[in-house]
Amino acid sequence: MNPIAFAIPVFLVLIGLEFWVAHSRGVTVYRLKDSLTSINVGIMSEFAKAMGGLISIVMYSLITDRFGSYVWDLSNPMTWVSALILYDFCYYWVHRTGHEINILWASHVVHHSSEEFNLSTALRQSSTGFLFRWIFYIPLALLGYPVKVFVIVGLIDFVYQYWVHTQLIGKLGWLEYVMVTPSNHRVHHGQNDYCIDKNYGGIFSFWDRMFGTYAAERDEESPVYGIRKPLESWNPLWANFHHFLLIWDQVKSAQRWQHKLMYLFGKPSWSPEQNDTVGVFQTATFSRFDTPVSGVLRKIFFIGTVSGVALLMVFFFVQSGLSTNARMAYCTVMILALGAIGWIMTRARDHGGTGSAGAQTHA
Amino acid sequence: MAVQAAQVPKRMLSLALTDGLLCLSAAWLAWKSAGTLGFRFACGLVAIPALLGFLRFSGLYPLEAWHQLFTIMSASAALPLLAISIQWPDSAVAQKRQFILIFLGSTMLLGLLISGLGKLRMYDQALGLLSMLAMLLFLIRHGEKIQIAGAVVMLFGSVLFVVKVSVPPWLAPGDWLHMGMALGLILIAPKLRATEESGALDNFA
Repeated sequence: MNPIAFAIPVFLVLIGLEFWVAHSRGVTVYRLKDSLTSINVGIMSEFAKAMGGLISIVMYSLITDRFGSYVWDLSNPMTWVSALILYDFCYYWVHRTGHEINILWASHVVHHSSEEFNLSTALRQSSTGFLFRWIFYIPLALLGYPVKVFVIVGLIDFVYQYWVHTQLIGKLGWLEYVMVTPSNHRVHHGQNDYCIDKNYGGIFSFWDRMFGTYAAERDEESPVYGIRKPLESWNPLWANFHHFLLIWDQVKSAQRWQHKLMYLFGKPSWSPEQNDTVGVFQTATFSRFDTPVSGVLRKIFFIGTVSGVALLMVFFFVQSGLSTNARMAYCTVMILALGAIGWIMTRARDHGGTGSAGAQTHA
Repeated sequence: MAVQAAQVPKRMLSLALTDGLLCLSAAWLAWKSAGTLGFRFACGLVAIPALLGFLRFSGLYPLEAWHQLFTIMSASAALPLLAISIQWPDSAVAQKRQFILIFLGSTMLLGLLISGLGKLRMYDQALGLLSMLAMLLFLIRHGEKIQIAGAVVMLFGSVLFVVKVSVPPWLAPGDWLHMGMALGLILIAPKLRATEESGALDNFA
């Protein structure tokens, strides 16, 4: 059984709890469409991983078997502690390159595409990251850490990062120096100038201090969440692939092969005219994406997401009994269905739906 | 935790010595050479398997699997980079760190997948030999005599290694590879053009 199956109910209960605490404090940290999109993106990433996620484990096992040079005693706690620290070190570089290399940003951008910051944002995970992430964990495989250790410390690293996606917990004193906390992760999700390319750590924040990428949250300038080239969609398929399509267009239109390579492997902000210069962010004029949708569409969106979660749980329980073809078909249908729901919700903007809202100015 | 047990026959001493020689010369060139950044990166990448080979064959710290892996990396990534740096010293791959890393990253990944995991050793060996052949052909037309001699020695040592020649009997095929590489690099390096210092390529638009 996929351990994520056990984590999902806990994640959802915690989202409910965060919503309730925020509500009782009179703070708004959730918007329905944004949160449902985050959950849909998360469901989609689980189905995508079910189709191809084994690639990480297979590659890791192959490298360990062929080139792993040490034997580790699994009953020794130091094996696990050292593996977790090394995993987190590798994660730092996965994450950093995910922000600083355009083709990898195309995959990771989905996680940052929410303009809100709450526990549902943590679920907004990439559906394509599994294709290349294993490359960064090769050092662990060469050191011979068994695949079981790799999977377990990976889960610990993943689950730890859930709780730091909240605005309801302030600064945590000395812990900020060692661990990734909600405060320093808020900076990571900000698009303010001081937040760009900062705080990449997964569990430990000292990697950022070590490599010069740490920034503390500023009391006088709260982070504004989201990305500089806004997603402007509720469609999880578009969230996953829009930046890949942008890169495709850029590479096609580039005249020199150096430029083509820079569009692929340079910084996301790179252009022949500006090099790596990142523009100045105007906090005052930023407005969050929203679309006017009818109450009926809202209900369809909500029911679609709830059904998605339910069908993902069903999948986790029945997948071992399904043939490969049936598994692939199940996942493909679910991915397309989630894409269709997102498309309908976003399309309401183009066709002038009947709901309220419009663009909201960020305070 | 334990290092894999390793048997170190006495005849491997020559391999340790020649690997040590290759490691020192490649590391020296990576550090001090006047060649392009690409050339120096390539030398650095050659020095790594040589160091692992020295540790392995001397019995000091045998990590046989790592030695094999980095040898594959060196053949499939460092030698092509060396050839590019010599043939096109003005190219972005020879001069600019970002392009060197892109090149090394992709060629090392291919080497890992094809030769390392796919066990198709012909891939990295052929790539290494072709790179050396390309260097030789280029230097015959554009290089100085000493550089041509260096490229010949390098290619000669590699061919002897690939066809498993062990003459005289106290030398292993690998010794020819190590000595050929070390001497070849030393002879080629001094006449190379230096990395452009102005950083003009930073703004190659």
